[in-house]
Amino acid sequence: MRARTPAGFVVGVLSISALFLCSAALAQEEIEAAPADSLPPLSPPTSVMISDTPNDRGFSINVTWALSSDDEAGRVTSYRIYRTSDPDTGFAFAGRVSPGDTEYRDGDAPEGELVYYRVSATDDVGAESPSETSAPTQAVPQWFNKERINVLIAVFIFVAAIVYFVVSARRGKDLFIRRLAGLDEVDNAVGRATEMGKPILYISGLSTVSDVATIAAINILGEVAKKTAEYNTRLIVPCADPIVMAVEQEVVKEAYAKVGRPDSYNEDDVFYLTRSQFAYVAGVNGIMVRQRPATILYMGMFFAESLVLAETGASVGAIQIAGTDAVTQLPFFITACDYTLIGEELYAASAYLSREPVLLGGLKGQDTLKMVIAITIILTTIVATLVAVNAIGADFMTPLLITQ
Amino acid sequence: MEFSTLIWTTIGVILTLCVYSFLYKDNPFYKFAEHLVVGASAGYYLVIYYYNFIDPNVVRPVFQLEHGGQAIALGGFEWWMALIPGLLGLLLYARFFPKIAWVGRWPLGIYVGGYAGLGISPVMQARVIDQMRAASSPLASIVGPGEVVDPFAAVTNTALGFVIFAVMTYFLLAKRHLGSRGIAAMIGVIAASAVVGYGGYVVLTALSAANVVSTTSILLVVGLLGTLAYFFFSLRHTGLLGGLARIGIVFLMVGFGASFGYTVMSRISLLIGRVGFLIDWIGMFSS
Repeated sequence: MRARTPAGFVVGVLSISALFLCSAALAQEEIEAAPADSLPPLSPPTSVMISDTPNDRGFSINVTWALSSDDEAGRVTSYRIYRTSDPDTGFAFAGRVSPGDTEYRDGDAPEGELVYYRVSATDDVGAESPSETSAPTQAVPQWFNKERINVLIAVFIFVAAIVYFVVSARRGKDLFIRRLAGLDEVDNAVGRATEMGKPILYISGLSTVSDVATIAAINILGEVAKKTAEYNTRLIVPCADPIVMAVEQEVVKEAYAKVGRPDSYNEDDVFYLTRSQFAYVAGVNGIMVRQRPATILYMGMFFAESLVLAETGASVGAIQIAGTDAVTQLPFFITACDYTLIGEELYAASAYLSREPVLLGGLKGQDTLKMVIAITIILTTIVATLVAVNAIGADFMTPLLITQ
Repeated sequence: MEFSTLIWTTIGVILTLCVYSFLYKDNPFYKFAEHLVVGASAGYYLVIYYYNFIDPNVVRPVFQLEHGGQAIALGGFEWWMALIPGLLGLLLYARFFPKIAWVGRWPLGIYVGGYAGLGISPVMQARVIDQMRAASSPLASIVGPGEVVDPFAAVTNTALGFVIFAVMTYFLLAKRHLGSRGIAAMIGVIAASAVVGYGGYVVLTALSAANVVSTTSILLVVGLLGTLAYFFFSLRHTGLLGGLARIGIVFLMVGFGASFGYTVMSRISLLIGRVGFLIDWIGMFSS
């Protein structure tokens, strides 16, 4: 009994305290609500205008309005935007913006259907003051994005340059490409493996076919496979992606057929290992230490596994040539490999090795684009500097490069 | 501590040690861990691929099973859009039948070509146009009325700008002619370039009240043009282009060095994490 008395006492005190606090809070609310009641209702936003969002795929409407006259006084806490397909059946909530904002982009509008909007100014107690209903409009998609005209121009210049150089190459014009030390070494590396009677290991990264670096790696693999077929050297290609494996099997098979050695092609040498990053590394490391390849080629997209692979390759005494556009992994390849193709050299490699007109034309086209880029940057930097020091007016700046 | 927790943690510790044993040399323990992780991950991804891609995107829509609470109508647009890629995927298996193996190239062609084509516009936008826009920044700016400039920062910026300008001049113009004369020639050229650079600054200042040279912008433009020159394949890297390319490779290597150091630090933290795991395992027995 002695133990229950204090507990009951505590419960009683707490209950009384809770009742007191509740009544105090209610009283406070009454005090706070009193001035609000005395204020007139918020004036609603006016001039609600809606329009289809330009240059989009539909489903989007831009809503604009003029601020409530009470906005400046700080009485408006938010603007709530409502949408409907039929004003007679009521409006559905579409979004909310902060006081002072006069526009909203509704990204959930139904496509091809007339919609109406209403904007409500809301005060701190949640009372809303709705605007007039807007005129109707509908969200429609646009086939052409006018904001991307600059992209179209750049692509047009790029494609035109490529077509020009491809045609030139096909007509027999000699297109010069400067020496790339890493690629010159591919021949020697294949020859070395042949002399040593050891295989060549080709690793095309851990990315998928959607990656440009992987496509470049597949192109290079085709050229390397031709050389290994000529020398009758074993080529091992462990893959991390099943689609890449299927493509690489086709590429290697075709390369062997092209040099007249289809029988030398062994489909089991181009195989799927696993998609898991470090499980793949463990598997490839195992191949390296057991098969002891004379040459290892790393081409494509690599991630954190690059140094682990390259270090193991170096430990088995292989000549290593790497090529990747993964900026964060390049330092590791540069330190651990004999030769490294940096970034775009990887893309140039297949053209350099094959000398095929289409690839050469592509490479020359890229160079043309680079020249255009360099000249544009020089000019725009000069103009931007002159504008910044008030030497010329800001209107001179072309909006060509400004996109959304 | 639960017994099952101890068991699984211990297995993790044993496998970790098996992998670390590779640091000594290839051995049966490493082989065991390697084959276990390769096999388990291959099986794991098979299931993941099926349930994340094939089942929701092909099986359920095509066989009109419930998908996301909505059944797809037979013969409708979405039904065909599930069926056609599904059939193309099946064609990949044609490689197992030599007589029709060539059919397997169709889906590969569509897949590779489709991705390459779809990539043109976003790549041009993100990697070319946007980068060009970001690179086109003013090399100097005027100080606005009432704007306070830190004199030390302004002087340091300006001095660095001169040095960059001087080094660039040296690489582009002077090295080819003065290369054999060594460091003295280099210092002379840099000093002369600095004087020229300072002259340019004085002129710029005279034209407009007070200019602040932006070292960052100068570095950006010089590095960008140099790197672009390095990746220009159509001409030999000699003369002006060779000088620019040399500047480019310096910038690249500085960037790679910084990236190398940063990544090594993060790898060390991974190692610390793994060692911590081993230490925690030992601690399990004392608790």
